[in-house]
Amino acid sequence: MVSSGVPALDPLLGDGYPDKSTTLVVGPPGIGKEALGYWFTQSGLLQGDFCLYVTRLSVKEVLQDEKGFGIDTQQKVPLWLASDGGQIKYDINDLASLSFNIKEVLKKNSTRRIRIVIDVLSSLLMLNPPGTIYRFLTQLFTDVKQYDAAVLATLEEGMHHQEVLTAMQQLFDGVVELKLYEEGLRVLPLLRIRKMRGVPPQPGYFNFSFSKTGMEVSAYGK
Amino acid sequence: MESSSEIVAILGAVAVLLTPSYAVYWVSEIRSALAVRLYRNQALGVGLVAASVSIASLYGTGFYFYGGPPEIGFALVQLATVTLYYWTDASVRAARRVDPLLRDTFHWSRLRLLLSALIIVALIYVWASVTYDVLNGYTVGATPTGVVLTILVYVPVSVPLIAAAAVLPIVGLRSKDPVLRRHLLWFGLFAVSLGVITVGLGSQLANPLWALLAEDLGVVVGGYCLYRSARSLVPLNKLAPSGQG
Repeated sequence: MVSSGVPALDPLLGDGYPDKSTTLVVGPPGIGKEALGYWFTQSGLLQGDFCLYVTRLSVKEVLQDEKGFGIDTQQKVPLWLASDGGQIKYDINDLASLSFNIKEVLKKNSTRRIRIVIDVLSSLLMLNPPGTIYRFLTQLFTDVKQYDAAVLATLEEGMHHQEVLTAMQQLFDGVVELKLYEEGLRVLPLLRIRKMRGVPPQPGYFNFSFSKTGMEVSAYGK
Repeated sequence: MESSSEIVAILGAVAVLLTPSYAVYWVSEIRSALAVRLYRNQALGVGLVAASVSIASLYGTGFYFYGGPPEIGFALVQLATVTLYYWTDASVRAARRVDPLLRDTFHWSRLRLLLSALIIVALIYVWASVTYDVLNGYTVGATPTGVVLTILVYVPVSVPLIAAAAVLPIVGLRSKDPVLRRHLLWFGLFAVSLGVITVGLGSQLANPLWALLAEDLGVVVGGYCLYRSARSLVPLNKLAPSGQG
């Protein structure tokens, strides 16, 4: 299993994300789904895993965000495939180059466990027909699973049609939802493990919150 | 003062207080559920606009019946426009972040520094001058600093209004994010209702009480639009029965 980097989340996932798995985190902008990617990377770096962070933002912006979640960005850093400031330049209009670069990284680090975080899916879906992105991801995941690698990707809620969202969820081994729910006059941020390979379906919701020391998760209603 | 007109004005004031307050409540609920500062700031901006418009309108009602220093009224208008600028800034930056091409509308990341500096300098100069005039018993604006004051006094009001009117429609039209577009649309309706009902209709009415009520109506309709704008900051889901998926 691959630790999520969030001690409170690992038990819900069956002791972490499954080996050689792909997990999708769905939620609205600003709810903190990127933080799951930050902790996933941070945990990997501390354990000596090779980490690749694919982002459409600049490295500076991601590091700023990480600091906001209390993550120490001074020590080990991942390999950045970013629009600005990364070791590899990310061009949103060039899917072939994105795929090639990820495969090259996988090949070069094939002897290590690899963690990949991808926060470009919503942008790709906005600029390309959904079918193109399904094919791109299907091929990418086939390649990724030839290695000891785990992928965590984020997807914005509310930006895509429901059928696109459903189809995307089917491509992944696991789906974690971080969403806002309306309960009477209250707004609750709740987490749900929609599906996870090797873990029985869990219909329950969980409260979650962020602090400088990490993410707290507790059963909803308690 | 007629008691009936006072009762009507009080009822109007209650509506002016309650409607934007409901928007502020939802904003605070949504803001507290968000984790990223930029989006929290955007939510805060909506709440500050709702609160400041409500306060300015209530002061207008009090001014109509009991009078008071006009400088306070103007300060409240400035407060409302400065909070509008705060929300505009957060919204434009949030829009850039969800834009697949990360487009920086009107080079906002740099323009905001210039506009913010302009507003801050104007506010400091204006209120330092007003304080100086009041403390020394001069008529406000009559001192040698009056010419500069006359120019700068409109900066904190006009710059936010022009910036919002120029940048946000382009941001909304460019964005492919339906959530952001809905949020901007409702905020735009707030601005239109406030402008059309409060300023447009209010200025056409000869009876001051009717004009005051038109202003209240504009704030109430605008407050409702702000409530819808607040709720459209993020998708709000309904919990399935008994917490099951």
